[in-house]
Amino acid sequence: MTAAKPGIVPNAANRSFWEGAGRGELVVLRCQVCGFLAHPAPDRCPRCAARALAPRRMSGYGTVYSCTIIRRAFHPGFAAEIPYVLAMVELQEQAALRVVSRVVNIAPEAVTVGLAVKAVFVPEGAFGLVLFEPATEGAAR
Amino acid sequence: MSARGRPVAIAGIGYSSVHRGPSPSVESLTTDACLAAIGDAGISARDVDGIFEYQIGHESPKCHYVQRVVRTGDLAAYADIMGTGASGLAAALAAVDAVASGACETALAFRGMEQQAGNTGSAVGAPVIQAGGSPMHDELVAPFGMFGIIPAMAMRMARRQFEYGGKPEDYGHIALNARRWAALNPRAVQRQALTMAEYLDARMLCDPLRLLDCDYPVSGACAVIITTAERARDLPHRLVGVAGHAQATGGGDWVFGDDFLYGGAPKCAERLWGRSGLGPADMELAQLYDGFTYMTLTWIEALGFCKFGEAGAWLDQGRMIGPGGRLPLNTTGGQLAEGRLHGLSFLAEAVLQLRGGAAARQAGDPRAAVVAVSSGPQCGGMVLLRD
Repeated sequence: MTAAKPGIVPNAANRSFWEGAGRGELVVLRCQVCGFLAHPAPDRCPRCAARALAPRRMSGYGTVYSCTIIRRAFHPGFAAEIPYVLAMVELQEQAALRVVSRVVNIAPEAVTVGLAVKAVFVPEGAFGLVLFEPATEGAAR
Repeated sequence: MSARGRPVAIAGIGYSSVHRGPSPSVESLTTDACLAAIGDAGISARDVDGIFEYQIGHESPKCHYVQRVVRTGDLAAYADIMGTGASGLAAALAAVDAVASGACETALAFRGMEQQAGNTGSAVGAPVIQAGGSPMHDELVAPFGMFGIIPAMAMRMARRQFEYGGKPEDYGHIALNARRWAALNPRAVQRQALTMAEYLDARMLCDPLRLLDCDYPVSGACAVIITTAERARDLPHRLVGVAGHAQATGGGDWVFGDDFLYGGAPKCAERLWGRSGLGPADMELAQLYDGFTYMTLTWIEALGFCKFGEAGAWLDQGRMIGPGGRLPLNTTGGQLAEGRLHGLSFLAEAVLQLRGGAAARQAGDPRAAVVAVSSGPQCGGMVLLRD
């Protein structure tokens, strides 16, 4: 028997991120006044404070800002998946715009800081998870 | 002189016993530490008119409990500080402000710890939904399999490696140093020597973070008494004054903040040196948070003991910070080896060393010390100066 993973519990700051992933889109919030992209986003734009954030689809391309191989389960729901690679991925649309995710379809030890990646999606009910895989042609699969 | 208001001193320090496994209740341990600090200061509990404490969330008794059990006077100033503060030092920082401002005359600050069952950093259920999100953004990262601070620390280590290079041994020297000092500290829970080979062979939790990069959870409590320098001059111990104190939050975020590697530490250091009028070259002792070895390295750099990214070379194979070194560091063994008394013990140890009262582990005759705790958006510190 495996323990349940913690599910997706959307809130106002991240609902469009989870819903977007369910459609196969990487979505962050964009300020309609100053254009700043934010993830996660609080109640209003972190740069100009305008209350004008709207979901915006990203290309899904980015680079690994940092990563770690999870070698022991910090939650019983993930015990069957170790080892796996957690990463912060910096999206190509804006400097320092990062999402926490997993890098998949590559040997864990082969994931390095700076690796070019692209988004892949795993549906979860009405929502979904944005994961990443190597973006280059010759990358391990 | 202190940053603002009346000059302030740390007049008393106290510990409970420290335990791995079965222990007295956290209420009992906390009371022991508070009474020990009051006794050490040479005051009566009735002289205490301020209490400040820090906790993550209902795991240790609050100010009112201690007021009743210790039988202090009425509290002119008090606060139960939440887990987003600068670890246990947050209580002492608030106490310094309260005394300096005149809100109270003599304050007790404490941190009580009860060892958690199971593995540190583990989670079992769904993240608790917090207004505004949790400090670690659990609701956003848990569905991917990220829990607690350990993976966040590992990712800092990996990013640091990318930006500055360095070796695993750089962290190892912090772990080895802790054991060298702990061997001289009867209260420490990890007193056996550690070799670099043993450090490198330690279980990898999240590459490149090893088990021995993490502090050691214990049950125990620590407390300090803070009063005006004027009052402290009439008390038994040599006067240890607060030359400067500061907090800093950087980008205000553990995961997505602007300065992923250093968080608020550089700004905290700038405030500490600016307010105290002292600098790293004046320090003869350092007590720098070691919840993770990574945090200690970044404090060494942020405080200006060396340049950013150069702590590995500066450590000089650990000679710089060990017994007999130029800058004795974490002389109790720190949280890595004495046990996680969570921030406040760094202050208590600095005071004890500045008084010359640290027995077998006394590190020369230091006059000035720096204490810095936590990391990321929860940084805090003090510069202490003996009369």
